[in-house]
Amino acid sequence: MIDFTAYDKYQLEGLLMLLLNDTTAAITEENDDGVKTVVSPVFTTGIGFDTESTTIYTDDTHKTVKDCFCYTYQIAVGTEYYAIYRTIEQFIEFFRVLIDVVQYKNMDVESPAKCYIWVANLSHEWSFIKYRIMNEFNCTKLFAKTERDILFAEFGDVQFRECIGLFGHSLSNIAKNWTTTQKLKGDLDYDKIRISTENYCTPLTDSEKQYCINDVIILTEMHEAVTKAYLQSNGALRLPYTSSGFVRMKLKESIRNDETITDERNGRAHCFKKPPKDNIDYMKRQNRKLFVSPEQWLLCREYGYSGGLCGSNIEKVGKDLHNVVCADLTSDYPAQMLHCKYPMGWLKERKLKDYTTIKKRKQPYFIMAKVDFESKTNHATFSIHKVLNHKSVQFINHYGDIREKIVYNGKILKAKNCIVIMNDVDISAYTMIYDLKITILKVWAFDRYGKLPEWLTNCVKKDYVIKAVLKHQGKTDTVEYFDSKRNINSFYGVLATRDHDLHDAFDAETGLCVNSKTKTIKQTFAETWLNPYWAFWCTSYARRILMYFISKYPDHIIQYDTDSLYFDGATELKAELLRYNESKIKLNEKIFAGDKNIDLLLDLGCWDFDEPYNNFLAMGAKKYVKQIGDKIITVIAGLPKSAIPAEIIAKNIKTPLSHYNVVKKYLLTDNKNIIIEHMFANKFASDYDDNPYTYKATITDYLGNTAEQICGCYHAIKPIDFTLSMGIDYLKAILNINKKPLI
Amino acid sequence: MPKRTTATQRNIDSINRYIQTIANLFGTNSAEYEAATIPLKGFATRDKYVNGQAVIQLQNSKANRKKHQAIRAIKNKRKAVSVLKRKYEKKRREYQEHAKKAGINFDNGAFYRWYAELSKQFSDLIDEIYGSGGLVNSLGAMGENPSDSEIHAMFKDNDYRSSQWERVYNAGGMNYTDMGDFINSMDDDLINNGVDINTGENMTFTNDDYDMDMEFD
Repeated sequence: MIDFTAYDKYQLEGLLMLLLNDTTAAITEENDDGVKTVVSPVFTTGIGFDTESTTIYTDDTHKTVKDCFCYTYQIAVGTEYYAIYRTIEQFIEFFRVLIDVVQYKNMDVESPAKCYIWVANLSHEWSFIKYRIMNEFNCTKLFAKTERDILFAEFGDVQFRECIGLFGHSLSNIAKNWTTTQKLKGDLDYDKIRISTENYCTPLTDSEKQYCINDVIILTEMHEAVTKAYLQSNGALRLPYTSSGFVRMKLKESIRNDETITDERNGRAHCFKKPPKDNIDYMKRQNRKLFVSPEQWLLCREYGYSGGLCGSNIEKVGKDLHNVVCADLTSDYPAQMLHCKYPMGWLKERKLKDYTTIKKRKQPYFIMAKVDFESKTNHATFSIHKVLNHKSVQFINHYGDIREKIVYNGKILKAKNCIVIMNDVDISAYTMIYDLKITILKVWAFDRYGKLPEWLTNCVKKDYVIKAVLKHQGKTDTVEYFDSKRNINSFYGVLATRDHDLHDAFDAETGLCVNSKTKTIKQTFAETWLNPYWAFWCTSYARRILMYFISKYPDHIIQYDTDSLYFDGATELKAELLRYNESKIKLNEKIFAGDKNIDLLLDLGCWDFDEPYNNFLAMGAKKYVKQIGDKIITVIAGLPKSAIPAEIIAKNIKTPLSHYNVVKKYLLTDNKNIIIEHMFANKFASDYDDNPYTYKATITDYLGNTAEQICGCYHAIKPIDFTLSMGIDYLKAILNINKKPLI
Repeated sequence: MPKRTTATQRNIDSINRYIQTIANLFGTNSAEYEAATIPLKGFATRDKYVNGQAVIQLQNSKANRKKHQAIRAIKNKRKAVSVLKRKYEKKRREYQEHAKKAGINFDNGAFYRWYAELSKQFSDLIDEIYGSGGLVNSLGAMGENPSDSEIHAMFKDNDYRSSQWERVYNAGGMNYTDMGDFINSMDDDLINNGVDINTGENMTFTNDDYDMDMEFD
């Protein structure tokens, strides 16, 4: 490999001219204004970029950050050439040359080619270079998920792109999926202070250098592999910004090629002043009829829609449980999409007197209602955050607060005078758990229930078949498997996304990404091409399945989370789960009829049973510890899976399940916090500085040399401990229910 | 002997006669006249003065005659005059009796024109009162019991809808949180007594009113 760090401007120009040569094909389209590029060509040579930084804390506790700065800027161009720049000036110089070269290459070309700079965790690198690069170069396009979480930035024809999330969930995962070069074991020693100034730079050892180069070479290798893998048959390359973008692209393609929609569009062209130009446009026009009023949409989105159902059986929390069986649904959300029926047609506000008819006709609908809840058992499943007169001051003022409420861990056990928004599936689910008294205040109803359109279900089916077949063949490390698995998990995500959250401009004063196109709600709706309510119904169906089993076997269920049930192994419950499977298998036989791999596909949406766990500890929603043999598996929201096992080994904890039992600890010591130190939890907090000005700090490196380091804006991480805890009200409720002492 | 006219020419004549009838019956300000003349967009037209009104007529020109399919479609799709008259019939009979008694000279066409004008005035009045930026809104009295059907009609109206979106956009776009109007538009009797005051129907339901069918038993 060749190091070009020392090249001067002209040598660098020559090198880049040589390396940036081949491009993928362009797709163009001719219209009235001339030729329009639909898909831009891309240079087949990719560039990787990464930085290393030093964080200086005020003291040894590492709680507050004093200074943070980069000491290397690594670049790889293709898989053979790399540079390790030590100052930002050098990097800016490189970037300037790169932009010039790309501009030169794109002269007199119909469709200019794009040059990709891949970055792993772009938001981190961005926070160090943002002011410099935004001030000196002209940013033509920007895309960010949040103020700081930037995914894409374009300068002329050079683009910075985030690769984590798109091709893997971490750099080592990307390397595993795509490249021969693997992430090096171990890490740079981040505690060592290294500096880089114009006059003095802390020298890097060979292994440190190797570590720096390795990360960027993975990125350029990934670029080559990805270019090959996603090259379309017409020679063009089209890469979205996010992983769900692949699915979105696929669905749009599927809609464009759908003949039923094309026929319908042509048949109805005369109904429009300006006929829709393609199928997507037609879908957008149709979907405008899905929004009754701004209030309706905002309320339904916030209160009529929730995610997976998770929680614990309060009678079992904190107890020592044995032989617990776990059943989980195979590909839950895709299964609901294929098995169930969804709202179709227009959404309209209906008169109250029509409600009985709507109910009788089994039309899909939303109601806004005053509801009195009273749980039939000790299970609580309705979240108090979905009650309008709990959260919104305006509703509290008008309707008064909730009365006579008993709440377990944020879920309502009993309450009166709750203003809620529910759909019909939710009502049928909650009537299993609660005795409800519903007073209807408003009704919004769709025309009818229907199966999801074929352009959507066919895509889901196709990816599920690929995934199932590859899994059966044991080819779980191939790109196809990775692709299909990512797609299968993204379909629900695509339905549920709301693109009005995007940030597409840079605010030079605060250094944050902002939303420049303040779209009106109307415009946002006009751009909706997928029915957003399908996502609402999808989660509702998934919740209803869990609630059905909870309501039927309340004493046997211990813990549940979105698509899994932990129960005490009761045979009648297991029999019922198997009976459920039979019905789903019959359904799958119909859905996948004619597929040659049908035997592998029948378990879609069926319960799958794990080996029983010897010991089990439930501690509320998304908090449980399970033991199989000697192996401890923990699921605690916010804590990495490896943390508790590591602590058990390091501290030689003999009885882990009672050690991490918050209820017991609270009972014995009146303290409800169990602290897991940073060295095990590996949790970091982020610290940002958005100061646009740079300053000089005198810093001594680990070799004892002192220099004036230039510091500026940064993103630093500081180690923090994790506190495992439970709500005090919930703990009191648990102790109240378990009249007998736990110990 | 004059040359025999083509089918398209005859269709054009037929459409023109139809528009004249409509104008004569309902007047050129009526919704019926508007509906009849909308399909003529894109054709060459001329004005013909009939009974003091300028009535649009399809020109019997060569360019128009080329669009023979579109012309045939217009001819076939137009609504029969008897159908258009139907909604006024009852009123007409009542008025006829009244005219007989009062000794007023009664003329069908004049009646339809008069009644169409009256309905238009009435709907203008409703617009003025309840429409976007209307009287009720400007007085801040919106929500003081405009009837259910009126609210319903307003929400069906596209202009009203878009004005609502604009209102929300001006108040902070997607982060819009002011639900005041929405809350006020709801019936307080409903929440207190569980009865829809408009129909007297009981709007309170319990578990027994819903089936808990999971569709797998």
